[in-house]
Amino acid sequence: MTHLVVRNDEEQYSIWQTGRDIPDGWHPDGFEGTKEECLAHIEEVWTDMRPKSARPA
Amino acid sequence: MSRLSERMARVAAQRAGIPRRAPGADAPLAPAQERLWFLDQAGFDGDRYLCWAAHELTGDLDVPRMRRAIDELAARHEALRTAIVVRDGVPFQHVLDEVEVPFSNEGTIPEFLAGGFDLSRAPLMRVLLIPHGAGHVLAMCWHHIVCDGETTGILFEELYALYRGERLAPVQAQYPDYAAWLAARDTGAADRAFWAERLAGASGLLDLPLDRPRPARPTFDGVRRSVVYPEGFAVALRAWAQGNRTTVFMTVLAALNVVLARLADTDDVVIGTPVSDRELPELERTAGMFVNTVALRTRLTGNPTLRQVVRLARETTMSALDHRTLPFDAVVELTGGRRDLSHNPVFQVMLVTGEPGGAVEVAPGLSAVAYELSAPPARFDLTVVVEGDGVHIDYATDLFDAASIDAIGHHMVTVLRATVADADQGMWDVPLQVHRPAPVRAAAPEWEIRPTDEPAVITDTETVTYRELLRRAAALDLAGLPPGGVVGVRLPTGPDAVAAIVGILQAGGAYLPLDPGHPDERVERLLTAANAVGVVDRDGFHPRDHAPVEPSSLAYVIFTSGSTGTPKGVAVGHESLRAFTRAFVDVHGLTAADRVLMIPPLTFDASVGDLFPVLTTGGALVLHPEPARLDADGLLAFVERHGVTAVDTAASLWRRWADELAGREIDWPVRLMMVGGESVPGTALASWLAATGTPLVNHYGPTEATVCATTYTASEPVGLLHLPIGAELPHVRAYVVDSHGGLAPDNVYGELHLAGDCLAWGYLGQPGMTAERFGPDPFSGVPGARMYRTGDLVRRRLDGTFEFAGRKDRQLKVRGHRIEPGEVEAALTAHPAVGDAHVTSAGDRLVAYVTGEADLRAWLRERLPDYLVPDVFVALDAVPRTSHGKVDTAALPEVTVSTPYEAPRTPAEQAVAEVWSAVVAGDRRVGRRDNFFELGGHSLLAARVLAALKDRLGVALPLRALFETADLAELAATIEGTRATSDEPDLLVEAVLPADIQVTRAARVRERPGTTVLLTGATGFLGAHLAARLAPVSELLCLVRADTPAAAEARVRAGFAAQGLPEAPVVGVPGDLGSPRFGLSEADFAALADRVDVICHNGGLINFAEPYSRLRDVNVGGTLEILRLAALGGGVPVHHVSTLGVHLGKAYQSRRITEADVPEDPAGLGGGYNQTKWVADRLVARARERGVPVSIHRPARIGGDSRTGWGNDGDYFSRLLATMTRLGMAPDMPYDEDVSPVDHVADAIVHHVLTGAGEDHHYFNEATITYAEIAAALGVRLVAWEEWRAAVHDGLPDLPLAAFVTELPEDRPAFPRPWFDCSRTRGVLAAAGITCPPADRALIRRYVEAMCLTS
Repeated sequence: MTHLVVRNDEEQYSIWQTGRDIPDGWHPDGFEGTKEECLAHIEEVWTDMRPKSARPA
Repeated sequence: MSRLSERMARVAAQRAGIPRRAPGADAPLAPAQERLWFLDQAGFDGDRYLCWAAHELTGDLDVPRMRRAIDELAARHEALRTAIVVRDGVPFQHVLDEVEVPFSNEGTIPEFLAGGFDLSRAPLMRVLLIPHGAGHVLAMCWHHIVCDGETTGILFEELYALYRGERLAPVQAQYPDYAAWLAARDTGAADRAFWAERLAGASGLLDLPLDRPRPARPTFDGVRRSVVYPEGFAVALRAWAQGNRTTVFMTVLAALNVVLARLADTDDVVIGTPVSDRELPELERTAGMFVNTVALRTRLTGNPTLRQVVRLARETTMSALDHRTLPFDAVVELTGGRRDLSHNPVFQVMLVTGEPGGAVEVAPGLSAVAYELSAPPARFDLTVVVEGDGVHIDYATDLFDAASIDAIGHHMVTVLRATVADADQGMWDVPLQVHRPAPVRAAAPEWEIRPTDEPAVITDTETVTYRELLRRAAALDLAGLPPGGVVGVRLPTGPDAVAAIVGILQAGGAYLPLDPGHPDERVERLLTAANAVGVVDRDGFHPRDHAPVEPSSLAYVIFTSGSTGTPKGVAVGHESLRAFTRAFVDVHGLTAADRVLMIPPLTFDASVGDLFPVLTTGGALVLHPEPARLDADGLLAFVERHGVTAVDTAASLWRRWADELAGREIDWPVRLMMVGGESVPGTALASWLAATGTPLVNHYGPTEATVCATTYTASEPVGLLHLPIGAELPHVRAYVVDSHGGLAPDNVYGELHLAGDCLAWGYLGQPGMTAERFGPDPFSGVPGARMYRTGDLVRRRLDGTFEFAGRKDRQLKVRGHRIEPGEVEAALTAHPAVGDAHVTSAGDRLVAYVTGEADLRAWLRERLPDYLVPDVFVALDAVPRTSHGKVDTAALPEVTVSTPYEAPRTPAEQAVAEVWSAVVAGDRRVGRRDNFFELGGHSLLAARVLAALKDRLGVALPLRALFETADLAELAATIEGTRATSDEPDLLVEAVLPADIQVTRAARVRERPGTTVLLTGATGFLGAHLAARLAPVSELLCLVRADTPAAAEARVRAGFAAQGLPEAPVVGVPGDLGSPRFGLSEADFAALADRVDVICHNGGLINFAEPYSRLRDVNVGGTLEILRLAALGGGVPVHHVSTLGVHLGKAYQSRRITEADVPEDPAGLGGGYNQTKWVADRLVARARERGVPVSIHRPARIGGDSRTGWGNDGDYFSRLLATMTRLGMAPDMPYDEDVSPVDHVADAIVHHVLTGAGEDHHYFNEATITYAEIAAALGVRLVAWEEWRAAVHDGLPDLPLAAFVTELPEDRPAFPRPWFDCSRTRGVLAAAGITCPPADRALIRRYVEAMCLTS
């Protein structure tokens, strides 16, 4: 079973099981792999934990 | 054998037909009958195996004609003339040529259905015909052993045909012929192989979500709920089934599979269904027991479409029907393993198709329509009955509420409609009823803290106003913090710490609470992890080196220790904090007038739930210097001192207060008690509310969802083990997610996910873990929304509140039961001798690792349902734990599931081992740690084992004893009544008379002539004699365990007959000595108290094997209820039948005892029976001081009737005499035997009952008899003890004495009993002309002669 790395408009990352409909407002960031691989990928790319709306305009 | 050749073989057998057996020959029992016979013999369930049906008759009924038709019906069918006779222990069907069917035209239907049948007497049938409305009700009842559901239909049809005077074709094949034919066939092997393979690995218990914990012994109470299909759907369903070349039954079976799978969150479902073995055409109209049950197991791996499930259901059913003849009990036997009586084996849900009954014409002018009798006993969790127009569900009320059953019915209809509408959708994709939460509110506004002169923080030493608080905050001089910059707060909880937090937030920073007691190194690690820009301590603010801060609206960071043990910094933004604060203020109604005692430290996020709701509404935070040490009295004083209106604390501390306040009544200013952190037991809540009246609010929420996600407010007690965690706060969305990632229906367990405006940003510096726990929310429809996976198992109850069921990753399944190990651990560590405990499973056993006490079964049995009591206990010096405090499972010793052989030790163990070996284990060696079911035992064999044990040891065990005991040693201990685990009772404490037993009013003035006597124990040996004497001279009320007065009277009459006593009129009072108020309503109990003039309390359990605890309810509790009744009636005189055994304690040995000697010292009283009798005796004596006139009658040994010799053949002395006769010898014992004939004791007691109460009376017949005289009377040799002992040992277990004796001591026993001087009793009785005949040779001879005559 593989997963996709997905990201929302708040620039928050998560994972989603491949093949199931991706919920609204989430977009694949292009990485697919096992759950562990996806989470390792996220460790690399998600460097700013602040939700976009929590950053000063 | 292939299926085809199997079928061919069966067809060939069928062609041969069923031969008629030799005229008058008995037939063997069919397998299904055998099972019913054993259940009856075991004294178990007898009354539940009745078949009955009733019709309402309207029109002209000719009753004599109907009676004739009934007798003609019995003449047609051998089954209706069959009795079960036993020869050499083997049961046979014996058919009488002619029977008269018991026919009654008075009474009620419940009375008609109340009794069982004596299987040895034909017919096993009875009929009731009573007026009902404008017509009649005709009810027929059979024992299941000669009847089944189909048979009842056939018999009613034929009855009406006979009534019309039609000639019926002769019955083609009679049932006993079928049974004989069946016995000659051999289809078992292939069926066994099929079922063994088919059911391999099935869990045996479908884990349906229950409303109440499953009781160890079901009551079988059942109720029916119905769901009617929507208009036109029945037609659509039939059309769909036809269009898809299947049947409605298969479609419904498929839907039921889907619903059950989703309710239990499983892919493996077993459903039972009844099948009839009337394969042969000649059996079509035969009366008898043809029904069997088959288990339909369907594997629903993955997410099959509804169409595929229908196909699977069909395949399952067809293959099961091919193997339907193997009796279900044999199938159960194949599945092996341990079992419990709490549920039906193999399956718990039954599917049957019902037939809607219409009116039929019996004869011109007479029509019949089915009359609904009371709901049948609920032998299964659910019985789903499918009829044309809808679904009925008969359910066990032990387990379910009606609303939950309605929900299941609606799920059934939903899935059926989904099947018809779109059978190609996945079974997990059909939406089932889910609670619709209110939409989440819009974002909360900014809040502020206003500088007033009202108190903001109150402690025992200072009160800080808002103005002062803000001054101290400003004094920290934090201006210039980067927005969202983290500042540590390393201060004890107090005004300065609160000021620091306020200062940090006002400066735009985020706070990080630190425990001032923690070492520098740990504090530094947390500050680094959070990239803190500085820290506030006692000396003010200290900046520290840090990485550049990205500006943000971060509010705080709180570290929690997660399941891995590594602390995680949960980062929460102002948006969530604001939404939470507003929700909490609203839900708790907080205002400036509130003073909230904050118990949690600042490092726990529960403190956030006090700080901001209170400070933003202008109330006051009240702080205690050492909250963990607050006991209830300390709390009362503290809240009084500071006018506290609300308290927020951890559930553990609150429980301590609830315990300490239990039974008190307090008045205090607290209006709200808030708890969280762990589950709240329902019992603690009840005592809390009784003591304080203060509502309790249960908070639930992980730090990741900002303090609190759900709340439950309890203002009155709840009938639940644990308090629910409530419903979501307005800013929270909560989902219960099933294992397929969809929403679980209400009432169904799943993992709680939280969403809405409550989520933290995530874990600081741990994006991978954040991404894993905070996933996309597919349910809200809000684009880009996240939801937090809590790891907690919950379900949403139908009232909208959530029930917490433990951590998901710790859930265990053992033999199908869902087990939350934390619950077992909590019960274990509640034992004072247990330090630490860890519970896990090994194979299908629940294992407890404990420090301290090793075997805690008895302790746990009182506190937990049976399935939560571990099978294996492992004693450890310490439970191994990692440095983070988690259990180090790798370091736990391994549990070997197969236990090593341990030889039986005690005589009882030896006896059980031999019986098991012979009956169950094929003469294999059986050890102390063996389990009956693992040896291959099953319910039929259980009945045989119990019968053998009864023969052998004279102990009649209930069938459940085999299920409730874990191994042979435990069963043997039960038999010996010396369960090592049950504590010796404190008899002196037990004998304290409750304060409520007190005569407070004058007795009523009697208006009716004559005397009304209440007698208990009238069905016993002495009781029958008392009743026979009292009934002719009084209005005699007999309290007897029975369902109806008529049944109670019947039991008393049976007692008369058994003792050869003349019939006499009695009034039956159905009641149970072991229940409060005998199980009567308050009004009936009061009416009884008013009605009786005198009470003769002779009832009780006589069992020398049971421990005190098992006899207490009836023997002690029953006596208390008698005394209550007497007190209530204004001091009704009580004659209590005790025993001289109360003087057998150490203090009275070899002493002279008269009626004036009080048996105050119970020390040395052996056995539960004597102990209960002693306690009852003392309670009665004490009631005398409370105004109840009492007489205590203490008989010694009571023998048979001195005139007829008739006695109680089962008692010790009768069996001793019988044994002497059998062996032709009597032991030369150094003491005499005493025996008071029952007629004398009964005459004496009745004399006193009729003349008044006050004195105590002793009945020891001082004219005793020596063993030499006994030997002479019997004409046997008088022999030395050694010879007697050897002969008895050789003869056991066939000797009558075996019931009482398993082993005789080597040395000749002495009997240091007191010298009973009963001259006062004798004098009083002599004056009334009552004298006791001597225990002489003539009396002994009469006893033995009577025994020979009766046996």
